[in-house]
This record gives sequence, C-alpha cells and structure tokens, in this order.
Amino acid sequence: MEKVKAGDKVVIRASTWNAFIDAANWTKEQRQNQLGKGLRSGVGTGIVLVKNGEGEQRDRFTALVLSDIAIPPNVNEDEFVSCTPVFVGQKMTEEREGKPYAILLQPLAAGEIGRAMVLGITPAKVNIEDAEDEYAVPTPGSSTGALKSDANGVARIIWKAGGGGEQWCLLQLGGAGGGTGGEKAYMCKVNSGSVKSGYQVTVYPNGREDSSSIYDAVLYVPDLALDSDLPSGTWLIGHKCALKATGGNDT
Amino acid sequence: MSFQYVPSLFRIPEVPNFTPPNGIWRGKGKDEGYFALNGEYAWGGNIIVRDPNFCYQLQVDGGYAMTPVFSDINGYVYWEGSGYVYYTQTYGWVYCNKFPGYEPFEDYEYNYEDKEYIWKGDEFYTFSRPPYGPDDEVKMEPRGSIHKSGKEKTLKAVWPRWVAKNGEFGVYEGKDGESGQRIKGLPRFKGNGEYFVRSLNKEKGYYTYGRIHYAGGKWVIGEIGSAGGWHEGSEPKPDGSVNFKFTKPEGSEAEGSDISVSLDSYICGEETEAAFLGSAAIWR
Repeated sequence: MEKVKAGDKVVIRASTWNAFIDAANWTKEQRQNQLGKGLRSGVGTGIVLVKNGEGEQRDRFTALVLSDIAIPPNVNEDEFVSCTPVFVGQKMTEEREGKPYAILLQPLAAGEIGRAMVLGITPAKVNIEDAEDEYAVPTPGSSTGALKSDANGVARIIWKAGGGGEQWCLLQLGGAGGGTGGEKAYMCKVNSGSVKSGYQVTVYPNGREDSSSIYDAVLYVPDLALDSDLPSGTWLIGHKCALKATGGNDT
Repeated sequence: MSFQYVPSLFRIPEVPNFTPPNGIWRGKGKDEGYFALNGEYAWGGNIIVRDPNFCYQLQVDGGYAMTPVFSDINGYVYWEGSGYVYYTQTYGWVYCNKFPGYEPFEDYEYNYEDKEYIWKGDEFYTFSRPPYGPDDEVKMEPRGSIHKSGKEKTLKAVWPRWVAKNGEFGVYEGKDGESGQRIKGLPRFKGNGEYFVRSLNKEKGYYTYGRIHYAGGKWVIGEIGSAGGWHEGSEPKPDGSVNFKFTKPEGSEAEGSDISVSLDSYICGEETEAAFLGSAAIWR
C-alpha cells in the first residue's frame, strides 16, 4: 500500500480496502478487552471448541461433558484470555453428573477438536423416558454421548415430536433448570451402613413400585444423633447433591 | 482413598471442653472408618480419627483409656472402660463402676466411741470437670464407702488421632496411640512453574495430573505426535522427582527443555462426588 499526496487521484484496490476493514475490526476487538488483550472469540455466541477426549468418534448433536480445558491460565494466561477456549470433552459418568456439557455441532474423531454449543438452541436426539420430562441430560455411561429426558437439567426441551423413545428434539442450552437434581426428592431404601460413614441405599427415581430405573448410591443423614442407627429396609426421602471430595491415603 | 465433606451438625451430647464441628470429612474406600474434623486448638486443630474417637478418651492413673459413648446421660456424653465416667445430678462428674445414669449413694454415721465419721454407700470418685486438654490433669476425690480410706486418683485426657503437620490438607502424624502418617488432600506437583493436581479418581485405571496424563502406554505432558513437541516421563510420585523429557516428531525443528516434576503440596481440589442427603422422620 502506497500513500498519496493532496490532489492525487485515489484508486482503492479491493485488497487494500479489505486490509483497512481487517485492521478496524482488530482494533475494535482489542478495545473490548479491559486487559487490553484480545477477547476470546466464540464466548459471546455460546459456541466453543471441544476436544474429543474419548477413544471413539462422537457424532454430530451428541453430548460431551466439559471436564477440563486444554490451556489453563497457569500455563498461558495470554492464550487463555485471548483465544477461543478449547474444552476437553469426555463421556458422562455417574461421577460427572451435574458437570457442564456441550452438544457437538460437528462429528469428532478421537482426539479431534471441533465446534460445540454450550448456550443456544440446537437439535439433538433425546430418549424420552417420561412424557412429563422437560429437560435433557447426557446418559451416564453412554459411549455414544446419547441424551435422555429428565425432570431437571440445564437443557430445556423446547420442542419434541411427542410420545416416548428416542426422537429429535430442539434443546435450549443454558439458563434452564437446576442442573443437579437437588430439588427433586427420591425414595431411598437403606441396605447397609451407619450414621457415621453413611448408608448404602437403593434409589427409586420413579417411586417405590418402579424398579426399572433403580440404582445404588450413598446417603448421609445429617440430623441423626451419632449413636442412632437405621435398620436395613428403612425408606427415606433423599435429595441428590454434589458434595466436596478430596484425596486420602493411597496405601 | 478419599474423603467426602458432609456439611452438617455433629449430633452428639455435650462434651466438656469440646465444640463439635459443623461438618465432617468422611473417609471412603481405603479411608473407610476414618474421619477428618477440626479437633480444636488444644488437640492440634485439624485431625483424623477412627470411630469411636470423635472426642478425647479418659485415662485413670495412667491405665487403659476409657472410650467415649455418645449417648445422653444427664445432658453429657459418657466414657466406658475400666468403670464409667458420667455426669450425675447429685455429684456432678463421677467415676464409678455403676452403669451411667445410676446416682451413687453416700452416707455417714458418727461413731461416738471412736469419735470419728463412718462413711457408707457406693465406692466412687467425684471431680469438678474433665481435663481441658492433653496437658491437663484432674484430681478425683474418693467418695461413699471409701470417702476416708480411699486415695485420690488422677484423670488425664488422651485422644488417639493423627494431627495435621502443615495445614488442613497434607500429611497427618499419629499421636496418643495412633502411629504412622495419613494423608488428606490431593497431591499437587510442580514443574517449570506449572502445577499438576492429581485427579480424585482414576479414569480407565490411571489418574491424571492436570496436563500430565497416560496415553499410548506412556506418561506424557501434551499430545504425543504434536508438531510442537511433547514431554515423556513417568507417573509423578510424592517421593522424589520425575523428569519429563522433551520429545518431538522426527524432522521437527521445535525446541523445548525437559520438565522436572516433584511434589509441591497437598490441596483440597475442586472435585465433587454425587451423594444423597436424607432426613429420617421420628415417630413417637
């Protein structure tokens, strides 16, 4: 690009004009960041980059739990604040229940990085287990990233074809329900344990008579005196929650 | 091999000189049966105990310690072992061989011939309060039939426990009969200014340590085959350091240096595990 003098005829080439536009956009983007560094693009749109941390391919419109980020601030702060975040996506397990997840917007091979949605509206196939369910959650243990319906969650089903079984739905990601199921009461039956160490219980999500969806869990009863105990077979109301955990002895 | 925090009141009768914590870390896996809590300043602050040592034990004349029982006797916990220590309405704190709740009996007569009092009743000892802490001893006075003939006994508090050496998360050392070390927290390693925190649980048989993970039969930092290079080493261990050697694809001009990783400290971490909190109705 060459400068012109006063009175010269100005002819602007397309490439020159585009360079001006690029420069203006870059300057504008820099000003949006209070630190003076580039703002991560993608954050505002609800679309992020996810690396498939599993050993198998994941299809488009399936779910991956966001378990970590590829570049944390202690590794490279500049890159952390200025680049589109790359999350490490893993399959939903019982331990990861309640953690944030994204819906893939493109198929991802093992280890591949691609676009995924954490906020917005996206189609996805959901296994509708109960017609009353208004939310979708990743199915724990699913190696395909499948989704199922639930009474709570962060992905609201804003449209579905109707009836039960797997079907295409439109999901509104973010800004939806409780996410951890804390407001829902579950029927729990004591199998063993103590008030000190907690009780091994069987959880009946759909009530005492429905044994099709039961699973085992740990239940604590904070209000019982330390010398009290509950016999096996006792029925209790339990509320699911995520409790802080840390390491202990390895040997 | 982990602890889970249950934020709840510790429902026990009153223990003199001890305020129960508002929450307790309950051991799981290899730590099943161990509990981490704040045992107050006199006992070293953060401690790990075994059931039933949720408070201190009591030792009479240096003998076998009596263990606490968290049943309510006149508003207080009691201790059992070689006899019982419990709170009575008549004498306050007593040490005797009657089951807690029993009110010991003491009476006397005046012998005019010998000009002295003859004491009658149960054999027991009274004292004003249990010891304040590990360095405190309390004298117990003989009462009842041994009011005059008996000798004083001393009461000492001991608490078998592991005490935190350096903050809540880290190594705990055995005291008052407990030996060895216990760990509470996730090991955090450091190398080249970067921290690597171990995951709470294993995934496919292996822990991860931040960017350090097991892939392709090797412990690596970064991604094997990456054009910018990666580091290969072994699993970080609390003892000693592990060297991660800079490696790059054949023909690559990428440059990097080795990373030596060693234990920095133990931290709580930010992981949670699902559990249920329940309430039990009491029918009367």
